[in-house]
Amino acid sequence: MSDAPETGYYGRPIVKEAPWAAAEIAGYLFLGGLAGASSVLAAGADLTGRPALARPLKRTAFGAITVSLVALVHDLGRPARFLNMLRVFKPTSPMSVGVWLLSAYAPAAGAAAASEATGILPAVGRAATAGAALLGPAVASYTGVLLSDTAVPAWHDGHREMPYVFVGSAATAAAGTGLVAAPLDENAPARRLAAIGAVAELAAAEVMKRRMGMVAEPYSRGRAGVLMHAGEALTLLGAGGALALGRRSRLGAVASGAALLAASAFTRFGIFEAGRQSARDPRYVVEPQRARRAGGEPSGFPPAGAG
Amino acid sequence: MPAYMVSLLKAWWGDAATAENDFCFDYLPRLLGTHGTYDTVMAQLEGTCKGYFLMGENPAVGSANNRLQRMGMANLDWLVVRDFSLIESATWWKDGPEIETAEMRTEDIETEVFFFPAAAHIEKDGTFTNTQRMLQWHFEAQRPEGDARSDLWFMYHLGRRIRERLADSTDERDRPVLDLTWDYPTAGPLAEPSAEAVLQEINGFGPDGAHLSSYSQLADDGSTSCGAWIYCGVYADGVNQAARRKPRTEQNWTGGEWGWAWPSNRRVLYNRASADPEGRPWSERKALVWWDGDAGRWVGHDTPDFDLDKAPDYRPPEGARGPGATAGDQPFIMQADGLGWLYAPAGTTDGPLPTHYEPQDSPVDNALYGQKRNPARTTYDHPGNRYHPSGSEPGANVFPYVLTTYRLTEHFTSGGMSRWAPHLSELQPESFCEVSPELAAERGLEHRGWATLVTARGVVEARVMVTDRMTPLNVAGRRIHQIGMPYHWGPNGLATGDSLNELLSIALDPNAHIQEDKALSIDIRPGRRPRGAGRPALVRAYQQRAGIGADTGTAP
Amino acid sequence: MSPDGDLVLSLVGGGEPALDSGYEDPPPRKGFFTDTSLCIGCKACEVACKEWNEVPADGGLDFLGLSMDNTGGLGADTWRHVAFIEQRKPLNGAEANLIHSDRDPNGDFRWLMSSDVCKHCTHAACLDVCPTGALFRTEFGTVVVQADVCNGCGYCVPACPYGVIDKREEDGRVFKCTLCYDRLGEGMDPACAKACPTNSIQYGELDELRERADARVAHLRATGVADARLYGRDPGDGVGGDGAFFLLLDEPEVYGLPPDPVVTTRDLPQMWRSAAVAGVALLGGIAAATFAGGR
Repeated sequence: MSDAPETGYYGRPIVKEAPWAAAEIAGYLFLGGLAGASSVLAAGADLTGRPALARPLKRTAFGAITVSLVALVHDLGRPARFLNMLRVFKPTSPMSVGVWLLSAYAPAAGAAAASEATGILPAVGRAATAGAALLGPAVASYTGVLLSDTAVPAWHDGHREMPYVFVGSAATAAAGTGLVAAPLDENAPARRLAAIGAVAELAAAEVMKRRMGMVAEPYSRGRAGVLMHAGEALTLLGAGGALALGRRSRLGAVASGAALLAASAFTRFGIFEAGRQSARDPRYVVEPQRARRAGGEPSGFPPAGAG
Repeated sequence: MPAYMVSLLKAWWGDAATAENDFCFDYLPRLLGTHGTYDTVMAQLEGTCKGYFLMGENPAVGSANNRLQRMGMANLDWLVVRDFSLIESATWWKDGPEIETAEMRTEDIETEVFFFPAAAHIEKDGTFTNTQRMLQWHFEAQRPEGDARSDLWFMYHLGRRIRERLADSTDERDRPVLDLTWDYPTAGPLAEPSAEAVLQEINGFGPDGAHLSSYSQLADDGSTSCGAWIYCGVYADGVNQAARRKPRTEQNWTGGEWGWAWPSNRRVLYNRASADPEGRPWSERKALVWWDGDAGRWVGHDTPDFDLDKAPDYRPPEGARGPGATAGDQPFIMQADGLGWLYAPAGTTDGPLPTHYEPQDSPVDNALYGQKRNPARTTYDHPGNRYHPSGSEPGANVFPYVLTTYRLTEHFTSGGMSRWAPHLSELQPESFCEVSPELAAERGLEHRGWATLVTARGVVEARVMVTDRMTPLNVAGRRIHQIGMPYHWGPNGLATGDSLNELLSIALDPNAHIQEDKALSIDIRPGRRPRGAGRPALVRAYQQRAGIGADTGTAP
Repeated sequence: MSPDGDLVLSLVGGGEPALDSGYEDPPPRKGFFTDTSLCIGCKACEVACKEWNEVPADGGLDFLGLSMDNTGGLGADTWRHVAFIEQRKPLNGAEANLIHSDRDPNGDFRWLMSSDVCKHCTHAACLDVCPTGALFRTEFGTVVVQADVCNGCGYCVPACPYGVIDKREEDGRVFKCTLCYDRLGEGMDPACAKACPTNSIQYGELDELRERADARVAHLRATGVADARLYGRDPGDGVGGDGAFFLLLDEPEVYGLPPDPVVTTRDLPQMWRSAAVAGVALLGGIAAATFAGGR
């Protein structure tokens, strides 16, 4: 018997979870952000004469985006049909936008890394590095739209802040790469970015959760809660370590960098899992919508204020 | 009546049926008793019934007292099952409950079991006849696959082969089989007999070999043949009337040109009553028949169920007999006085007035009489068919609850078809019983959990549905709980479960010999039932606790 | 009109889906009006849909025991789902007389039954987010997946505010109600509407169905069924109105329907703005980290 309307229909989910493998899609969120931010940081390293910082970042960007593409194609229900996504370009579909974005970014990141590694066609390599750096921010931020542009409560209700959380997480991941791979005398941008990224990400996440009201619950409960808290802790640890030890201690830099990379991954997996949890429990759909309905707040289409 | 009987015998035995031999009347097997399905089971148990055809029947699930059904089948010489799937009545000998409990062993069962896959209704010609008395012909839409064959194919070719075996016999006993008209034409690669030929035989032929069009044409001198007098006319004018499909937009509202209704395509019986005593329709919108004074006959949308030229003002003269004894305003022509009766003083074994009796197994005494149960009911004495003490009889409290049985939308009878169909099986996948929240609390039953249900005949398990739709009953100041249960399940197919009819005894109403399967006393406990030898042991334990013996519940 | 409204409408169009999708002179929009006050819970719609569309069994032979519902909900292998809700509430003066001594003496009880289906939204999130164009708008205004294009990315699945469309795992692609597109093309009714014995599922031109529904709910309320309401009928709601809308006898959440569904695309312009600013912020942040200060 169904007693409380808030529990929906026998407590069964109303919206559906995304049929994506966490390893592949949350993995891609991490790797894609890492790649995009790394391309930007690599360009900055090039421009300020830090080749030992630029090199690992370019290779990381290329490696991460390659693994990403493999994971994305593999996650499709019909992987052999991945080219069907190039049939159309739809601004209403963040995935469509993303496919075209990656189609431009990945070759650029690849050319940048290849040229750097082989020394061949340096002019092309410079252009590719610039191109990857210009596209990188889009690659790092559009995935926030990808998750938010769904009916999943813990994703959609965070849509204003999600891209900021994502670029912040991307920045710390890139910073972490720099800290791990670059020599101490070239890792200053990475150290600074670690702090900037950590602050940006944690602040954005906090604002996001507060605005969501009860829908933010999954971010601090269950598996998602564990992942998010681990991400937060490692972010603070890594950023703190980067500032305190990153200048003088190679070991400290590597440990901080590893912590930041792990933090970024945990955060992406935590957000992914929080979405799952929020889809599974109908309360997160019913309660905010009931409140809207009761409060007379129009959920019309077009949005409020339209003539 | 003689015309109908003689015409029937002519249809069956053709030229061999002559006035000299009473038209082969003596070829007909005689009734030795009631020959109902449960009598047949008892005869199987006694060993006097040696063979059994089950064609679209599944008594191992659908009949009361499944165990007795299987024990009966285990005592046969041979069993033939025709169905779409390997139903429970076809496989009990290798995977039935008695094999699992080791009460029977497959190698000890001497019954030779044959299974013939059956063609579905779209794979053969034939008719559907519904309770509206209407026959609708259907055509074969596709050939049956593999070894599947229609019932008509099976019966015809079985008969043909038997006749071929007996062809040289000189034994008088074989004459009824050899003298049968068994010459239906066959066609196609499967040698499918013509269903239309059978329909024509049922319709009947006149002395000139022409199709009859009305049972009034049937004669008692052997000049007509007719397989069933009520269907005479279904092939009138050589046209398959049952195959007609004139849309309702092209005919009057009675739809008489869609299919064909027995008898005589009369759609509404006693339709004289649709007109007032003067013969005018009570309602123009619902008019069926009316009196045409000019023509001097009854006319209308429907075939009149009345003497066509009996005027509304006809009054029978003194001493009139037969149809002439009913007046022109007395529509109920099958009653001797032409009137409709609300009360039948004769014809029922237990009548005449309706009354209340408790079911065979009941937790209460009869509040209306000292006589608990119907004294004229039929009971069967068999260790596998023990009854419960009821009401104030000692031991009745061992079965304190009422079980009522019913059906679901998603399944059909024993589930022989529906529990094999994926789209239906997933709608109601498991056997369940319905209990009130109060009974659930009293017995520790949980919604979606398991329950074990026990009677003196068997024990089954089912899932539990706790619902407000079941309520406790207040009977003579006592609170009695009821359990509701659909009866569609058996162990074979996609949607499987224990069969409810394991629990039922065989006790029959005196008139139609229908088993009492709607209400009985029962016990219910949480959890799954025992497996193996524990299953019959639990039943025996209940019997002992209730002091059940051969006499229990048999007193009139 | 707000800037967002302009942008959104330019992205997804106004209220005439077929016209907005580029059909020239399309037929009148078709849809369903499912009047659940007439539903008897026979599930003929579930079976007819599966038979016509050759939808496989949804794999579960489990006793869900959600009253008489063992299907659970809509999905890739269930395109019509009948819900059953038993309630300890009266229904318009009917005397249920299911007396349970621990509660009210009237024995109030009512049994809600409802056949759920894809809503074929005016603004369909599934269609908006599909990256291959597999999901498209038909000339009838309905939303259909082209199974030969779908690559199983599954993005439409979490996008749907009603939780309708889903992925068939063994197959890899997504499936949902087509509103019997193949039957409409032949001038036939959808299988479920044809099979429904009580006319609970009504198929026809959406405008006419809406009028019929307005009259029906007014009639029910006038006869004392205060709970009767329409769901998805309003073109001004968060999805622009449903092509398949309902008459319910209780709040939508009781049936497992979202109380106030919104197409996620409505907020997309704001999302792209956030993404753009965040991207610029990333650029700026890395620039600051790179160029500000010394070693």
